[in-house]
Amino acid sequence: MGMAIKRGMHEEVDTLPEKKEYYESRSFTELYDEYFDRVNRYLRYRVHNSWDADDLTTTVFLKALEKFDQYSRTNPFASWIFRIAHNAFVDFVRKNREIPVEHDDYLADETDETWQPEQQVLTNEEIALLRDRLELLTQDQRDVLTLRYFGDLKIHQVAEVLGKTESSVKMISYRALQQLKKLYEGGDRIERR
Amino acid sequence: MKDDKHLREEMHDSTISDLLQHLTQLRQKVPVNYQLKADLKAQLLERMREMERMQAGRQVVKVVPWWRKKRWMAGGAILLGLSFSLFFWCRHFVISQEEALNWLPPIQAVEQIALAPNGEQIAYVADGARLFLRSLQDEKEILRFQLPATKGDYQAVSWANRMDRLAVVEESGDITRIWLINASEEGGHQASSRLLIEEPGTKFSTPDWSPDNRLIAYTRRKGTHEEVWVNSTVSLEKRKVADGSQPAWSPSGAGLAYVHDGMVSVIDLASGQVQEVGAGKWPDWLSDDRLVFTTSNGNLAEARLHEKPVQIVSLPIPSGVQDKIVRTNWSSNQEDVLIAYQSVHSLAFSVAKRR
Repeated sequence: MGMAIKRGMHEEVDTLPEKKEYYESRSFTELYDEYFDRVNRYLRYRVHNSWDADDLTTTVFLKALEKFDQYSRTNPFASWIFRIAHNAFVDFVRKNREIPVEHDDYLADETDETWQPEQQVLTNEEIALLRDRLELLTQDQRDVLTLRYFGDLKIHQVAEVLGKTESSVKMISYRALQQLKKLYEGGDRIERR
Repeated sequence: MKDDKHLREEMHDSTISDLLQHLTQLRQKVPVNYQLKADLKAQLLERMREMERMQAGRQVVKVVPWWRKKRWMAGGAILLGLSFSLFFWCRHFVISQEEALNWLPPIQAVEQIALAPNGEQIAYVADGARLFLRSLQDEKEILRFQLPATKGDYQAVSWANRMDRLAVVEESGDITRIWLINASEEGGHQASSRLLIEEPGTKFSTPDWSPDNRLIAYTRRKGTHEEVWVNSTVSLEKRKVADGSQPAWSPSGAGLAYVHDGMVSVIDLASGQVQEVGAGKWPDWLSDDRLVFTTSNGNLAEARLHEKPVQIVSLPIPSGVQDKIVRTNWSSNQEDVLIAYQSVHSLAFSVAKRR
């Protein structure tokens, strides 16, 4: 679908096979090894508090194991596991709506082991600004962008997770990016170094 | 077509293209918990083995032809009669409503988890410096505390009988500390705490609160030598009670059960008199004259101390359990029990009711 430009993570995703036979041949533990990072990262971004995010990640994979025989394997595992993860996140938000969230300052303190310092173009402050701007988007827009860019899902997988049509997801994604662009251009624009 | 047009616009708009790069960088700044990945995998593998065992158990059930059912029914009636007798004979020990705590994160040692005295909550330490208090009725009811910010790892937890405090043991290199944590707060922050004892060159473990919460018994290990010590929680008083480990207060507070050289013993704290009970470990009390402990082959035994000589009876293990029991941890009214099992690769826990 040609969306791999300048987006290393999507190049990675685009190489994943989607054929039914591929998923039929994979054990739960193999799929776990492959998908844990994406689910954990998605939840850690969305929940902010890494304790809660890790608890949710545990819940997601325990639930996935219990229901693994219900996984049809006609669809990519990514859509199935992220539907569980996204629903767990929605339940969490609903339950914790009244409770002030304790935000982790993970952007400043922790670093991804795979992170290469020379690639760190944006400062932590600028990245925090981007995160704040993402929070200004609508719920649908945040869902779509985070599933696409933090969960590494393709458009049709995001559509399956959210129960929307592909064209609707594309439209939401487009509008979200346009909205972010406006915020960039209107506010204190993040400069490239 | 319109959507494809949008996508092409995304690709060729330099601001959007920058945005996508920034999103990639933001994504990369969100760290993955690789320790959780390894721990959770071990837990999932254990759960898979459990499911396989349950599946194998179900496959044993066969359809019996009607003409053979009569014979089974006669046999069943006899068995039912026998089981009623057995139920009344050992009615104090029948464990029912066992429920596996599959939602627990991987727990490395049985000391890292404890049943609340009212049997309604568990406390456990995880990830080195976090304390969790979780309801057994509603697993979403959970309080989290950050333990005192030290360089050590937290190894053991024990509830005060009023449930307002917990004792946790911290190991930091050569130094071990016992902290008292205030459990009456809302959680989600650094727990308020008080250092009870700190000692270099020794290892503390298995703290246990006296029934009146004024004393804590614990194991003090120096090299390979283990001793049971008691510390006041209200003054600086402390004293050695016996050589041994794994102390457990009797419900009245008059005695301490402990383990020495593989034998469970009981010491009367007033007289200092020691009564040897039997080979085993992890003693806990059902009443002032009845002790439960784990035998070396992973079974449960009850010692009736009022009988001379002490009577040891084997307790029925919950049905379907093949793993060895490591430890049982009973509520104050002895109706609820937390059971730790050792399976091939890891510890598993369940809670059960005593009927």
